[in-house]
Amino acid sequence: MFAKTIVRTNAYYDSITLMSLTSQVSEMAGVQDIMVGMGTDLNKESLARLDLLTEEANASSPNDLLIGVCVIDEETLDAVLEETDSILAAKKGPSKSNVSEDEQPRSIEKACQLSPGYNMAVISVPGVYAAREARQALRQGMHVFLFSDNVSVEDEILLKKTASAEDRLMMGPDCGTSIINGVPLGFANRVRRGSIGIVGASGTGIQQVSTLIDCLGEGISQAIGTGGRDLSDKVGGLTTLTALELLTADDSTKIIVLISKPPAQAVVGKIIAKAKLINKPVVICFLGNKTPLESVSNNITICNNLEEAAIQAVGLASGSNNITLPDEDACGFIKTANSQLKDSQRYVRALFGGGTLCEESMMVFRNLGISYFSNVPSVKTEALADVEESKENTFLDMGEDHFTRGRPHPMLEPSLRVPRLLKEAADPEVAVILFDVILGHGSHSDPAGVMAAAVKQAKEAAAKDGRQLSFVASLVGTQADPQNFDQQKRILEQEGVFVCVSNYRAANLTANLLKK
Amino acid sequence: MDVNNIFEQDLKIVNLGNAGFAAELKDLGVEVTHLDWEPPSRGHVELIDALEALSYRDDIDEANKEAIERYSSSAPVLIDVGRAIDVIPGLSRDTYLHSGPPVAWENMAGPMKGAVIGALMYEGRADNPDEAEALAKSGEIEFSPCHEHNAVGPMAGLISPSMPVFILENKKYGNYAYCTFNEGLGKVLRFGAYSEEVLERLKWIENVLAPGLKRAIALTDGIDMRSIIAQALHMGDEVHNRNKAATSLFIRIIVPYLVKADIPNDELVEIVEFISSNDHFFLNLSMPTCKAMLDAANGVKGSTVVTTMSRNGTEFGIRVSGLGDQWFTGPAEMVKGLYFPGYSEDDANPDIGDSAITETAGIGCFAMAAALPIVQFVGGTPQDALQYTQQMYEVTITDNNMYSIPFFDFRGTPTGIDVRKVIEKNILPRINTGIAHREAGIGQIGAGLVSPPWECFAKAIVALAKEYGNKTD
Repeated sequence: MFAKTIVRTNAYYDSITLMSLTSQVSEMAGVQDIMVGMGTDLNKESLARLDLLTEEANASSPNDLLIGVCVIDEETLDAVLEETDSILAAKKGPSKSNVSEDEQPRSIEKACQLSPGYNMAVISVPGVYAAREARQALRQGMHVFLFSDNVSVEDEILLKKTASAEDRLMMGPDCGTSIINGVPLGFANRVRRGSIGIVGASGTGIQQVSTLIDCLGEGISQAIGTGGRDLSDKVGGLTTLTALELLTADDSTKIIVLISKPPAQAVVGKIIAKAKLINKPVVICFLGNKTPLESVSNNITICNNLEEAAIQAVGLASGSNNITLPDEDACGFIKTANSQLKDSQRYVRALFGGGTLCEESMMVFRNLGISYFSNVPSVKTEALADVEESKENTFLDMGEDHFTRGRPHPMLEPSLRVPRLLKEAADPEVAVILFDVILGHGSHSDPAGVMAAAVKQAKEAAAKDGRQLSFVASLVGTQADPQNFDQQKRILEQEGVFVCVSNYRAANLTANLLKK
Repeated sequence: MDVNNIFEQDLKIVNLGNAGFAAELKDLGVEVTHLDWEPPSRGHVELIDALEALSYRDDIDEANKEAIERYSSSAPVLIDVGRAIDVIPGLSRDTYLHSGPPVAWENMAGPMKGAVIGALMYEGRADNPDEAEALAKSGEIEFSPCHEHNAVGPMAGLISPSMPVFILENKKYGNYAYCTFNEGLGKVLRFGAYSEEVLERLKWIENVLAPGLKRAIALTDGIDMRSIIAQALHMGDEVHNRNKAATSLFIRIIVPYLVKADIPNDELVEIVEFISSNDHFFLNLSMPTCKAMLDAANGVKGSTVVTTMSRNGTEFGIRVSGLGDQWFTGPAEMVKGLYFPGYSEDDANPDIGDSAITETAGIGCFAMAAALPIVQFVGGTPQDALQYTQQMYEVTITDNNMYSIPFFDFRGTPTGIDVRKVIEKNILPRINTGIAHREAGIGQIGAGLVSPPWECFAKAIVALAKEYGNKTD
């Protein structure tokens, strides 16, 4: 076996590039382990785990590139390094040997000097550097879509207050999705334009609602992500309030939908007070809100799940009260699935990429009185002792830090979920595996393909063990998405996955499958 | 732009981080620029904090403007020649000045040790190298940086008490700068050589060249140094590694006065021959010119402008206007460049000499775009030379008001290195420099490009933040 650790000083690459490089190279024949990353403490730990942390690597800075590989022979090592170099070279673009005006600017300030008129910064650099870049963008008069997470709440508040004072829109930090003037920012779907404006503290929530609206024949005027913490006590809904004002003033927006994971109670009051004053219908879905909201005003419609929010909004937009999503006929599936279950097979294991979709599914179970455990529990008793070990019914948000540290988010790299899926499938107590497949810009080019392959493998392994498993997926996307909804659906169905058009339905179907 | 009309605009997006986002937006026909982004401060969060504390600060920008103004309005003039101990402040019979930041005898590089030995023998303090070394070690001799005495010296930069020095006066601010005479190439003291011929030449400089030049200069009204440099830049010099044009210009100015100075004819011939045969003669004038101007810019409270970059062959040190005389050091790096036949990097000493004062003042490598022939000496292509200079605009505050680059439409050379910009952009200043053999006395073995170690700037930004991080209104 050959192990080697290479340090390249002052060679910065973004983490998404490096993570996708790592996953590409790790698939090469003869590669046992590979870690490519910048010289952060976290990456040094990873190298140490692989026994590849040399003194030189240990002394490296976050601007130095670390390449640690374990391969079967020297030839493979050469091949790996060659492949690594060619991928990195492609990422760095053309050589910078010419004094040319085509040179890519290195900073926001420089970009603005070279070509004025930028009005939006899309920032997805590592969290520790993100606030500074967002400040630069605001200083240059731009609106900001801040995808990065791990930004301190103090910085978030400061950024949002600055933006507010400067009349700028500060989406994020930790903002997964927005659609501004029809342009998808971050993880967003190709939805038709229309009269419904969305404000959401949840990226996948916006994706679910906007795709369902599209599916129901209506469209989106604007979708404004606020960042997951916007409705917390500390942040106090700073961006949500701005976004509501914007949509109120926007003539193209006839209906406003407001989506969030459970917000802080004090903030709920503030938001409702604001919504009451809006002269347009407002559909509110605070997922899993502990104290149910009264219908506080006749312009406000309270919904309990994302599907309902989409249906209500489309109903209001079209003036029809007979809006329904296409129905899946699950009876046959449930019947077959139930007949195949052994007595020991009693539980669901749900592996989500979308945090809000995980939240919504747990809410369905909670409302049905079915107990579960999770890595993102809403109460302590639901918490898994060890998130690596599922217990009874388990819901995992695999986009959560524990799973994504140093690795790509499952929306970028659905294969992150594969080992866990296989592990759950090997558990004789498992009856159903539920997962989400999220399409759109930013996402993996064939998430259904990755999951379908895993399902196939899991089924075969279970069959050898004399068990049959059911698989349920919620598929979030549209026909216009780069991955194409129908095609992705077919890929899943070919492996016997039952595909639901909404996450809410997938959760309900799963609950049904557990009933004997 | 009003937040309320964001919905009426076409988005023009700048993307940083995930390149995939930009690629997809481009496919949709959205105007998007993906930045070639990397974390500032090489990713060190504590340095970013320091940088942030010092960024977007009107008071600091003002201070820098003041420092630059003091530099730009300086008027360095060659006024005289004198004996070091008589004219340089703070010198005693036992004080020996050297290039770079402070360094103890035991840590000195080969060329510097050789130069110390040579200087002690030249001064008659030792009869042979062993005696000289013993004296250097004894603690009797005080070593001190030239830079701390308004002086500069190329390579080892040795100035011993009885050496003659040029005296430059900054007519605007009244400060002075001093530098020894350039000895030429080959076996010379500044590369650590101390053979008989070296010492004899030093004596000749002391007894013939210096008095001759002194008499000639006395006949002038003082010689304006900046105008010589400004012209030389348009004649292919960057006045650090190429001084051919500037030396020629100096000869044009000084020879009539030499002729009029009642110098014995045989000495006059020697003097003119000596200056004419040494392409680098002017280096020892361009350096104190820069020094006189930058000393005037030093000590401006709140300023983040670099006023010294210098190396002693062991360490690189910088000083910053707002922090006065404090040194920020790191290990000197190896020079990357072209070697004379028979030599390689194995023979090279790490970066050495005060001559990086030229880059600090916006010339040298910072003016390489004006001196394209230099690439034959330091390596690379003319295109590289243009790019090196171009890149230095990223880390400097102003375009030089005297020195310009024809190829850039006579834009002023990048001038006034800002510690903040170096840290923010991860771009280190570049320096053109000669390469010394690591053993004393062998001399120059090549030339190339080098940068200060990152630590110098990292330490400086932390110190600046400590001193000026909290804005006081």
